[in-house]
Amino acid sequence: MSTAATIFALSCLVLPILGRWLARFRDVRADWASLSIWAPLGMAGLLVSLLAMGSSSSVWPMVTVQGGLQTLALLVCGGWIVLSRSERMEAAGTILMSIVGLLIVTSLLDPVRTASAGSLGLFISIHLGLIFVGLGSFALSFALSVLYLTQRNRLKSKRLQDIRDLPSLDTLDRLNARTQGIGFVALTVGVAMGFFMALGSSSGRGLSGLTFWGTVSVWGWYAIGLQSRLMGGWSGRSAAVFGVVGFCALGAIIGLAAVWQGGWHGA
Amino acid sequence: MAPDERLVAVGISHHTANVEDRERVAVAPERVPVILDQMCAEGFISEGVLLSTCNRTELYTVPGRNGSADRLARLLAETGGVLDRSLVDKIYTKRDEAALHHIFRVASSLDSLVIGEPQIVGQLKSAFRLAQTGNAAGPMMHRVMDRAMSVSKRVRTETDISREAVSVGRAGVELVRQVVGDLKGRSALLIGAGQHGKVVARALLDFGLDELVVANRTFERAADLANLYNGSAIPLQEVDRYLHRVDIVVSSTGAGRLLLTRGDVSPALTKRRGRPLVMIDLAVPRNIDPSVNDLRGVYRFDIDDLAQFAGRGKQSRLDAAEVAERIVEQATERHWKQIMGEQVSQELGRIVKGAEHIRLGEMARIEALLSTLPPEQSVAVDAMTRAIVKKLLHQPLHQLRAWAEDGNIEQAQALFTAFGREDEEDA
Repeated sequence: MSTAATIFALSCLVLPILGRWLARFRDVRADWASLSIWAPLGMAGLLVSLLAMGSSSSVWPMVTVQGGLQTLALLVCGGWIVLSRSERMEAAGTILMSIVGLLIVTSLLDPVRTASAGSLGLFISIHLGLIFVGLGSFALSFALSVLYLTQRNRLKSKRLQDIRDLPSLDTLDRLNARTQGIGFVALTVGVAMGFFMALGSSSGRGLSGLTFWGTVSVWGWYAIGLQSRLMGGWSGRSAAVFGVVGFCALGAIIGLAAVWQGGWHGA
Repeated sequence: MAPDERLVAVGISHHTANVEDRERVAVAPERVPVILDQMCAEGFISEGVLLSTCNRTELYTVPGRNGSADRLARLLAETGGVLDRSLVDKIYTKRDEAALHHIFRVASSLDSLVIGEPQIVGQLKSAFRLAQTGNAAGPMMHRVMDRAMSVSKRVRTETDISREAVSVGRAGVELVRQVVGDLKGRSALLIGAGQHGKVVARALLDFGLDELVVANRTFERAADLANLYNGSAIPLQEVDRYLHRVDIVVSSTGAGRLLLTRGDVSPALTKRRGRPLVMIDLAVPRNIDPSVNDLRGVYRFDIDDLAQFAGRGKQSRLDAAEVAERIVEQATERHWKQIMGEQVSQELGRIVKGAEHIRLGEMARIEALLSTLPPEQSVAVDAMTRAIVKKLLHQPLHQLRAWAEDGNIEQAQALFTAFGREDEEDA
């Protein structure tokens, strides 16, 4: 049930991207490929999959890598639906749905593992939930940053034919600051919760290793970025570069945690 | 009035004249009603609309007793105060159906510098309002303008002519908005009083710009412009001091040299703390060093960039223009017949009135004799004369109406002229 719903969700997100790609390079109509129709369907598929996962196990789905990746995919989808209230956000949707697709595919490839006994509490679910909200916001920030750099490049190099496909630099920068801010706050609280949980546990698990140090480094990176924006006026291009580099680092950590470690803090 | 001139369009536009020549006949909005009133008073026109934009100055009119198309063309060449003979050759004249066709093309933006640009509709409406202010908009101009607006709407609805079409002013605004977003709360510095600069500044204000600072070589000119745009004026030498404050710089001076170099702009960027600065250089030769575009947070555009942006989708609009031309041609043929039909119907009333006037005159001549008759006989004579007039006019008027409805305007006009002559002879 869970796998079927996941594949349905994946199809809902891949089909419109494929349709738009075909429409761009071949003379094909792509009215049907609007993400505003398909993204909610994809979200519904992911929700069903997570519910199925939750009902077949005694732990919250996000505690496992598979469930966690799908939770993140769900949050990114929802984030895009909120973003799409601004004009000309279809390109951001394409980037974000590609990320969502990648997360879903990774979750399907990851073997289903049972969570360890230490992962069962509600507290850890909130810790993970907040971290996923942070990661989801940074994914949105990444898409906005890529669009900012693209639009800036077009304006600087006077390639003005396509500039109206994307939002204004001001809109992109403003939304980028907002998503980075939300992500940073969520990540800070999430990491702090995890830190105190680890301190309180007898094993101290989670206070070292790739995920811990990687997350702390990314947190530091975004902290520097936001501080520079507030104090030094590092908005626009600088903030966009911060957004892109930060999310790429996050992607590497998630990938390594999921594939190499076999769990958020080891198998 | 020449009998064959019922509607005349005379004008000068970007097709026939350069900016300098167009500027010489351009008429400020506040002068339009005065000029039209004067032309009406001197009998050059009986009604008219004067359209003056940066791309054209045109007079649409029904010539008066002292007016003719050629005379009006000369009058237009004298708009600057003295007759400029070099301009006469650049002024075109269109009569009757061709004039209506031209007005429809102008209203549909088929005659515009950027085909499909939307501003012309508003400009035409403003020109008509000014004509109404000066009481120069008679029934013919009402008919023509109503139909021009309806044809323009049809062209925009049924073709893609307006899709992606923007004027230079709008192109400037769009480019600025691609960088700074909403113009609310933004400020701009206008350097110089060039036509394109004023157009862009006007468009920025129309789109919500909060503050405009005007700098000019002549401070009084800057103050005048600032007053017009509800902004503030500064001397040209103080431009550097405002670069860190404003979000947009529009330059269109005739200085013929660089006014803002990289060295002038660079220090202002530190104070801006990352806020982007859009610089639009509309001057030829340029006023803003092109290398400022390499500075972080600075976006510089020139007139070619605006033209490139305004020209987006040009081919699709040219294709749409072919369809639009056919719509305009069909509409011209149909509406010209209708307008003339309405004119004829109006004249029918005049003929009936004229005949009644003659009848009453004849009755007055035999008033003394009628007074000797008993009242019922007097009433019978009155009724009889009324019936004679009615029966005599019935067939010709019926024929006139039929010709008007069928669009046989020339025949209707001939008969109408015959009535007119009879009337004049009698008078």
